[in-house]
Amino acid sequence: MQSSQQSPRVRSWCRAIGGARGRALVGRGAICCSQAGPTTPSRRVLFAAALCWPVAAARASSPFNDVVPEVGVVSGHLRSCPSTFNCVSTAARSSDQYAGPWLATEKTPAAAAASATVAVTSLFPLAELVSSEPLASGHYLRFHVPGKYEVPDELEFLIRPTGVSGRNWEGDEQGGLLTTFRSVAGTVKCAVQRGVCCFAHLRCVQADASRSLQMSTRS
Amino acid sequence: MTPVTDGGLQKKRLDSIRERLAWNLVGCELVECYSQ
Repeated sequence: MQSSQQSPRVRSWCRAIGGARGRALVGRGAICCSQAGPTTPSRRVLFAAALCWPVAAARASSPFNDVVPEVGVVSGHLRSCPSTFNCVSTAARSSDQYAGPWLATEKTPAAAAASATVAVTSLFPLAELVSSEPLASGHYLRFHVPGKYEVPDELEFLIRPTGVSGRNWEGDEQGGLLTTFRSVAGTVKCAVQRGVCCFAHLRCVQADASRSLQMSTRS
Repeated sequence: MTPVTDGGLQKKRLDSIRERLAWNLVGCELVECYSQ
């Protein structure tokens, strides 16, 4: 059903949403529901549209919309993990996202960065080196690595010539390079747990091949 | 809405990189260096 064929009630309902995006989402929901149901703007269309309404509203206000995982070095450190992303970071505080840093054995951060680059690109041939920057605090690396979905994951390293000290372990006297890292999925895919609304929304997704429940973190 | 897990892909990727580099985990030097 085209939007021009929507009943006045549906159109006015869509306009009441407020934003253009909300109207588009609700309009899409009404269209898909009409495809799944009757062909005339009857009560059943409005009922099916009502089923889509909570999902459409959730999409319009979704915390995942237009969210881009920030990358880079802040105050000499890599960032922690956004709680809603599949992510691992040496700066994360939650146990399911934390990973311990590594101790590189190379002599300089630049040499360690070169080794890390070789390792990443050999293990993941489709990985792309986006940034390799010598910093005052060490060497920063950033890769785009193919992930589970089409948007590549962000993989970062910060290799610092600080080593580990203060443990009174004689092995620390040999120095070492403290390697911190973060790997964050470039995409968040959301499960909508709203019973029949979820089912209705899945039909919406099937009808709309250009979009899915996937909320891209990049435009 | 609940984020769908990636099945631990991020951690598995990093583990494979560390294994390739043969770099130790900080804090595990004694275990990894002397138990092998």
